[in-house]
Amino acid sequence: MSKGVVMIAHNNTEIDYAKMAFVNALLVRKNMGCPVSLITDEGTVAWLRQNFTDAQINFAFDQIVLTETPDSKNNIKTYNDSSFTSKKLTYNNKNRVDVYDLSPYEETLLIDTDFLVLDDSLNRVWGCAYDFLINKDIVTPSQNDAFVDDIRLSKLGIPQYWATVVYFKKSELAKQVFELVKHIKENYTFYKFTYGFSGNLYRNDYAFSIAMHVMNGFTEDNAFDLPNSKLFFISDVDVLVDVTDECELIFLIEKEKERGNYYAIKVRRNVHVMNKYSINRFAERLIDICMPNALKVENKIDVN
Amino acid sequence: MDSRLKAAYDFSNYRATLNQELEQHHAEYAETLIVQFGGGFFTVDTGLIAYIDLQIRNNAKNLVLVDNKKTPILIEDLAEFNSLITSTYNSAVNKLFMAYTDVKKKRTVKKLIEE
Repeated sequence: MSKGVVMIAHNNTEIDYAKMAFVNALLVRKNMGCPVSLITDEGTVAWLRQNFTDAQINFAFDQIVLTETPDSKNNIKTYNDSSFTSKKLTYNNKNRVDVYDLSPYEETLLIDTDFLVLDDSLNRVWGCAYDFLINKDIVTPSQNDAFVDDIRLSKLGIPQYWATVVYFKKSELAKQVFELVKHIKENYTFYKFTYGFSGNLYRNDYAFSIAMHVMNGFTEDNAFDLPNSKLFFISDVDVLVDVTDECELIFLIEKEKERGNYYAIKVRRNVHVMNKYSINRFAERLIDICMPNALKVENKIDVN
Repeated sequence: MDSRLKAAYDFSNYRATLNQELEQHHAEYAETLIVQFGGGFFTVDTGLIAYIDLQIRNNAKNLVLVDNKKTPILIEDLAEFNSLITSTYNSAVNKLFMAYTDVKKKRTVKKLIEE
């Protein structure tokens, strides 16, 4: 059975998702040793090819699957770079539901471009007995548990799942899940009012959470939970400040209720880094650590 | 700032970083203890190791275990499973022990982060 990691990247006017995907593909290759494919659009690929050589891209990505940029006209998200910088930008996330058909693998691990793979723990999913698994719980450095708002879709609502990491096999069950999520996406306003959450932004997490609730027979069950411990999550008000030679990430974590005051942590396990500006600032450093020397010779980027 | 307060804040920052470092090690430890075998996911602990060892001593070659997702899984090769869980546990606890030994020596934020 073919297996691999898949990421989706569609750049907006400021965030270079393609570069993040490139960095993360190198991390996956280094830490998990499995192939990575990228689902993206022509514009994003063109931008990728301006920054990296064909040899580098072919090393990072097993395949590049081209698709249309999702229609995200009114899908505006706030991107923070610490507490002091905030921008509203288009969030091109609506085609995650198409991954079932677009993935070239029979076993797929779908991850966000900003879910940085620093260990090999996710390798345990390959060959498991389950057709669809998704992350449920998160933990943050500051609180050791998820923010209350991130546990359920609303105060008395259903549990929140995180589409950050999704494992599936090409199977009837997985297809059914993705078809259900497509239906939810197409009728998002209805489900928003039915499940009692607010906001205009389309969130895959919420769509998948509703799908899981339905597939669990409208109960709270762990049938589709990934077997890992809680997804480690670092907010976009926190800042990546260094990367060691061993590929450990050093963050400054803003103290709760103390804006501008931080403490430092060093991370060496899989981590969802919400501050995309941070990742892009250290992309060159991560590429320098993970890229084979032979390919650096042709490097278009300045690693100095 | 009052120097006593600054000293307290400095220690507070050190404790926050130290706690995070220890938490990271514990999370890695917990993560490493989840294995996949025969399609099922199992959390390795001393109880599981003892049970499997007992079954092997009773000449069992295979058995059924209920995995983390409450699915009964047939463990067809008990010896191989035993080898996996034993090596996984030993490796994880030794790594945790080494990490704690190392962290104990680091009395500043700088040493925790940069070394």
